Amino acid sequence: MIYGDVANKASVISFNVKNIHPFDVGTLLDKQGIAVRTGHHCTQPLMQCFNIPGTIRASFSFYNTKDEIDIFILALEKAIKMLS
Amino acid sequence: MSIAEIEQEIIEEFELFADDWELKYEHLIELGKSLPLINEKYKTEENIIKGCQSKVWLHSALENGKVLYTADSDAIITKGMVALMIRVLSNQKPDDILHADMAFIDKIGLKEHLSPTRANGLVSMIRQMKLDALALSQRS
Repeated sequence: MIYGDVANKASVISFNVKNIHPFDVGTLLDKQGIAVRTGHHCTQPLMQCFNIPGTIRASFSFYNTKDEIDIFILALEKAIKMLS
Repeated sequence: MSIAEIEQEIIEEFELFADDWELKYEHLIELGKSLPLINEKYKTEENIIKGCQSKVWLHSALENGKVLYTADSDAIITKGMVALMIRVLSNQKPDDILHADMAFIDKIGLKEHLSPTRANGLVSMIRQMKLDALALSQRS
């Protein structure tokens, strides 16, 4: 589930995996060398509004490559497999 | 078993995984499933440990001079960490709990969970377990 879908959205993607806590996903991504942020991102009222404990947030910058995005997706798939 | 003996047992258990993070975390996830779960009635706002990115509920009780801990968390890796803490500190005398240095966490390569930016929840957790042990021992 991706949060935020406005037009012209920047390259900051907040998301969650169904039935898995964002902290668990973040920890296993970190072990694979992928740096994401997890938690409230200082927006507790918004998290309450969505009724979620937090999100995982991937932020892409001009120096990231398509290959890195592929590596991120593979790492994410591995994390989900370990946690399900 | 004493706290030191249990710590040693856990260190040896984790040595099997060497530097394989995957096996280590799979084991941690499994440990999370063995956590002595807190009774639902104690899953209250005041039993939540502050400073955790994931929620941790902790309940402590004194039985025959020893502290028994039960807990739960909404994140499975946190649950595994909590299960380790409980395995070491539960069913021990308050005085021994207060003097435990929990050095095994570093030795099994999970020190990163103690860093303040990462998950200071674990530090808060150990502090709360010790505070509860102290409070329970004063009451008896």
